[in-house]
Amino acid sequence: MSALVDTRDGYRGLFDIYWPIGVGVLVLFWLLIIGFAWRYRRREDGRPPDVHEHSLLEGSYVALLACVCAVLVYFTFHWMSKDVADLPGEPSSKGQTDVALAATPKPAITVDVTASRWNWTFQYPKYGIRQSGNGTQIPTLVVPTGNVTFRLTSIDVIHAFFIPFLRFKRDAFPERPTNFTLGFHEVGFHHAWGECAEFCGYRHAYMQFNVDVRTPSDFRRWAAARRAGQPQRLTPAMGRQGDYR
Amino acid sequence: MSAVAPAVTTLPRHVRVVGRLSSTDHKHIAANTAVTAFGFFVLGGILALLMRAELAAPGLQLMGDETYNELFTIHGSTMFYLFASPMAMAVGLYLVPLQIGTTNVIWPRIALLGFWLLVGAGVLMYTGFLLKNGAGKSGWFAFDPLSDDVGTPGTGQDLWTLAVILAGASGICQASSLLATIVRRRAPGMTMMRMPVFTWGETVSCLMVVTAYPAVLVAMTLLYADRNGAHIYQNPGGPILYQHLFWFFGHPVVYVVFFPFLGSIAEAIATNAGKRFFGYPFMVASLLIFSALSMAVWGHHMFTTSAVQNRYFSLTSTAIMVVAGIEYFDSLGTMWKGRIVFRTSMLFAIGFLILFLIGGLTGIFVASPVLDYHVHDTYFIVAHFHYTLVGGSVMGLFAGIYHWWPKVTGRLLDERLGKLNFWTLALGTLVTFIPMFFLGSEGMVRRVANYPADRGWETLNTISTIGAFIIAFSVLVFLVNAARSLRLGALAGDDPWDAHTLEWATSSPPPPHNFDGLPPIRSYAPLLDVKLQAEAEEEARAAARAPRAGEAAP
Repeated sequence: MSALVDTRDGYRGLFDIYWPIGVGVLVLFWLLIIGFAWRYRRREDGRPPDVHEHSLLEGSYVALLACVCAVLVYFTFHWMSKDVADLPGEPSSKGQTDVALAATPKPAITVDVTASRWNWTFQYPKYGIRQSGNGTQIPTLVVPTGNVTFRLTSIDVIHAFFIPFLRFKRDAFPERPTNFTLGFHEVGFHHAWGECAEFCGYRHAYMQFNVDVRTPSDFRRWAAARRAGQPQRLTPAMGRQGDYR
Repeated sequence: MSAVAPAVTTLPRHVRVVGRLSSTDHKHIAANTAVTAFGFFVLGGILALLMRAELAAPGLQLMGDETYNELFTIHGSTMFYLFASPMAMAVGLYLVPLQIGTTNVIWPRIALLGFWLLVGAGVLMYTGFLLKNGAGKSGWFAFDPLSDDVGTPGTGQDLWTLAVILAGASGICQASSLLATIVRRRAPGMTMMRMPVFTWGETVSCLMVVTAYPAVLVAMTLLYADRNGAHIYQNPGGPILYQHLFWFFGHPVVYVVFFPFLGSIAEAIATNAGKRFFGYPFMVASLLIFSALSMAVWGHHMFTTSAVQNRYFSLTSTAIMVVAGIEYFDSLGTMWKGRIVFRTSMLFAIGFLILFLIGGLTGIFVASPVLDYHVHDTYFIVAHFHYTLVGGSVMGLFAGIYHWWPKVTGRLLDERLGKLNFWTLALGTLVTFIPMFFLGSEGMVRRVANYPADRGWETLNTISTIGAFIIAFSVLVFLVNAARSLRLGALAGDDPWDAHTLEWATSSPPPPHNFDGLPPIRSYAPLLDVKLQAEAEEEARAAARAPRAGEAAP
């Protein structure tokens, strides 16, 4: 059984189906439109033949479109059912269980994410750690490789938690937590690669966070140091790579 | 025209202006609405240029973040509430009574009220810029709680909310007048299944306006109350309720501003190909199903909220491709075996087919929730819907303008300027919005005045900004062309394009009562029938006159 959640799989899998079909249809229709326009340009006077229907051909074409639609919807549903991030039903503050979620290994840690104007706060209840920016400087989400469960909420307006390299985002609502599990695969520091995707007012553009993926042992060392009082490192919003280290 | 013109021009100027602005002739209401809406298109475009100028490079060069937020809010609001939606109604108010062979719309005063509500909406929305806290700045969607009195304090946002109420009411007024006219005022012989495709496009648009716009009136009225002490949305379900109300309007509205212009290109293609529109019953059915389906897809704007049934909305949204595909089939069918003349209107129609396809296909892409989880609220979406609205609606609007301008003004537009207008708009649309697909895929979010400098996004943004100025140049070319035509344009005559529908069976511009007499109506291309019959009779007479020397005796 695949142990690790990978939110990139669904995107990649569907992209590889949708994109070639889309480009193929685009090129086909562009050629048809330009081809027809050229082929049937006016070359002689008089009226063209009055051909204005072909129900058999058009009916078959509609049936073909319906088949393509069915195939696309099938693959979308297929990937949605594999996607633990896509939890059906109304989320509740008590947390949520789901077949897909239950099938995955117990997440290593839980992070409570609180979005606010214009700051992110990451709390690690198991370790008693709190990472938070200060309005002009952005915090870092430190996670170990593996599955991490998030409980996302907002204290004011709607925000959205967006990590482009995981191909994942979810909206953060006030008084209405959203839960999901993300898998982190490669160790690395991603400078300001967490973003707020839902417009939230004045400093929306600057509401970023760094993502620092560490090996589990490295993560534990970091957590211990933070718990022992080591201050968090903040970097300027919109800053450049290298501001952190 | 000739009978009334001298009497009107002898009146003092201010009387003529007042008369024109309070006229209950559908053509005057429509022209007033269209000119006002086009004015807002130019204003909204200027806001877009300012935004693109700011985005050309990372960092803030021209404005602060707050100003940028006002600009994109008023840009989107202007384009939807004050330009596209009123323009969709205006072209219908002008042309539908002519296409169905009647003298005026039903309830012209309600339609006139619609025009004045639009003016009021525009004044309220733009007054915000003069106030201390600035104009509305929580997006054209104004999600609660960002748009409440704590999230966005200030009178500008209140005025914005009222402006949207007025604009929505304006749309409902004009759409009900138009819909009633379509149902009750068709000329004898003009059955529903003989209405031109453009009129069908207006019909389904009006159906959606009267069913979807009340939702935005409710959402905005409650928001106004919420902002002023009632706190309607302040509970855990409130923000989701707001989004349902808003998108129940917000998605259909993009089709409201699409079908009339789809109808425009259908008429332009049929006329320029010299053939009646292909697959008419399929097209009518597809428009009706399309509009019904589009009332059931609003939740795809909420895929990332975890509050809607994503599978359902994914299914309905993807199914749109089946009905949308019929447009393409029928447009190609109309060109098939035709004799196409490449007038400017035809170029814009082809441009519509080419560019809208990008928006349509990427629409299928984002109808898949798993793909949308990544691209939602990024520049990918901005690119996608600008191909539907600029590549689709605006291209279709220009196809319609070049097609019907002679009918409305009695004068021709310049074809060379028209072609320059077309090629620059097509080029600008490609250059501006293609880079946004890449920016969005890489994770650049929407509604930001600033972006990190170390991501390599500057080049794509600069290209996009250049494209925006190409579009601006194109619109400028059109304005020059229009001004030139009104003064110097060659007289058009009644039927300059050898067209198929009833509006071409009267003078240009039409007299106040529209028609002195109507040809018989036997299909959705009545004028073409008349011409075909006349030509057949002429041929028969010529054959009867000609000596049958060449023919061998049986």
